[in-house]
Amino acid sequence: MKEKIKVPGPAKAMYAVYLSALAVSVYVGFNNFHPFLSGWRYPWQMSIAKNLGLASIWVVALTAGVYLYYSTLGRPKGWNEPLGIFRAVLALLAIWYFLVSFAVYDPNGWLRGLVDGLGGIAGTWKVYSVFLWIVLLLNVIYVYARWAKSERFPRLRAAGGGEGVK
Amino acid sequence: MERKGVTRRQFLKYAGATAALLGLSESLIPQIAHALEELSSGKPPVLWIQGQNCTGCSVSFLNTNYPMAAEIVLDKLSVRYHPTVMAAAGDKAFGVLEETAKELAGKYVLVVEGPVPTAEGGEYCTFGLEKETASFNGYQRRKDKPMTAWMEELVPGAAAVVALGNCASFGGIPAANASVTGTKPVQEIVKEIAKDKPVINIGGCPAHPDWFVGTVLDYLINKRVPDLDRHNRPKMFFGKLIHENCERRAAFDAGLFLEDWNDDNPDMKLCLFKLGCKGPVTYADCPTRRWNSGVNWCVGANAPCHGCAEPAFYKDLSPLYEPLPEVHFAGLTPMVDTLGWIGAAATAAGIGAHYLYKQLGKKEPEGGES
Repeated sequence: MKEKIKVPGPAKAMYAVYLSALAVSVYVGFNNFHPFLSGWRYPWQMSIAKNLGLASIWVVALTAGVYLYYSTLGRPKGWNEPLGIFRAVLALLAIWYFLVSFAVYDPNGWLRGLVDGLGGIAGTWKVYSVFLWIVLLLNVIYVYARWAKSERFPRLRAAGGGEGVK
Repeated sequence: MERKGVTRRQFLKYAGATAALLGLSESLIPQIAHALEELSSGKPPVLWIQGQNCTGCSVSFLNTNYPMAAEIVLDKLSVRYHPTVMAAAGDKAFGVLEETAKELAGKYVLVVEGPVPTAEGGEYCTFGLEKETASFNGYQRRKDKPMTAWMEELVPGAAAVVALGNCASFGGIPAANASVTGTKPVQEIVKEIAKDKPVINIGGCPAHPDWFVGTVLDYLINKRVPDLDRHNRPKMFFGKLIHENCERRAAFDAGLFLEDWNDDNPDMKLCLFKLGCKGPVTYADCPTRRWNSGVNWCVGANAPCHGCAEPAFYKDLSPLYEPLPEVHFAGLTPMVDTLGWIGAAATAAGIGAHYLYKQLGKKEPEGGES
């Protein structure tokens, strides 16, 4: 029998917000910068896509920052959720993803130094495209791994009581 | 103006065309007319020198319509030296450069077309002769004067320096892939000679005539350097992403791409991204301004944008007909998306294998679940 996993409410909420914002940012990112997704055919929709992309990566970065705080300085008591290091890596990756995304959305803005460091606009575009895939796949792997570590695996729902519920 | 046969109506029309070129409101036409009148009488001196260039930017400039190049060269500005269009040659022509540098210091605009080679004492690009002599095949003759020496002579007295074309602005083709001539863009050379001297970079291969004429007129009308982006390019011409204003943007968004140059239906106006279009990383107003007096532009003529207005051109935006983004890995240059799909397939396979392994290896608990 696996040990019961306890996840504090704020950490749960934060992860839900993080995952939702990440899904939006990845979808918008692929839509804006990759040729294989279709849709968003009109200029006003493109404008929404860009603003949505910018807003979502801010949320991703802020929730990742909050997670890093929870898992280090402000760790809640009784939080025994596994894969802590994996989540820390994801949080750091999310902050890097935010920087690269912002640089690619606004290459002449406040992150222009980063754009220069990544080899100009074209170089930043390539790095962003690579990290879009890395962020997507690592988060998919994390979601699966976290499920595999949970009490309910291989079911989608807990048999009774549910994990993390006191 | 009347003496030249220009009526008041024609002159105001001309000022209106200039306002359109600069993207200004029609309410500013009186001010533009006033500035143009002042220019006609004042004739600001311009020195136009050429380094490692193909003269393409000069040819492009000579195609300008509003105002006509001849009017700019002869009437609006006093272009005292331009190696392609001036009649004078030899010491007489080079004497003009030296005289202007001495007599009109602080007043002239220096236009540089092409970057500056610095290797071997700058001998890869010379024009005119030094006063000192040197032995050459057993004869004493005056030494060739390198471009670097001209820059040292002309830059300190210039009111502003305009680097015309991608090569002059960012090094372009002569500076690509470990230049053997030690090519440096104009702004680097100017920084070494006079740190605070304003340099306006006008990218493009070639530079659009409107970009040059508009920048010079803006400078002369407002008496200050126009708003520049972080690459010192005028924002009024280089502030928008080509991809955002492209007439084929809808095709990109819909995933409709030209896959083969031999496509038998070019009128479909499919997106050229997969055949090397660099519009998504290039800032310029080509889609709206268009070329050859607004007739067409690269993408409109079924040619992908090569990103010639960007500092990354040519080195980091080539091969010209290969798509962005691509990565170089173990001798292969696949697109990021190809690698991404391979990664996605590997992730799905790994997760599937783990799930099956866990399921197959799972023992039923004794008694089972009730």
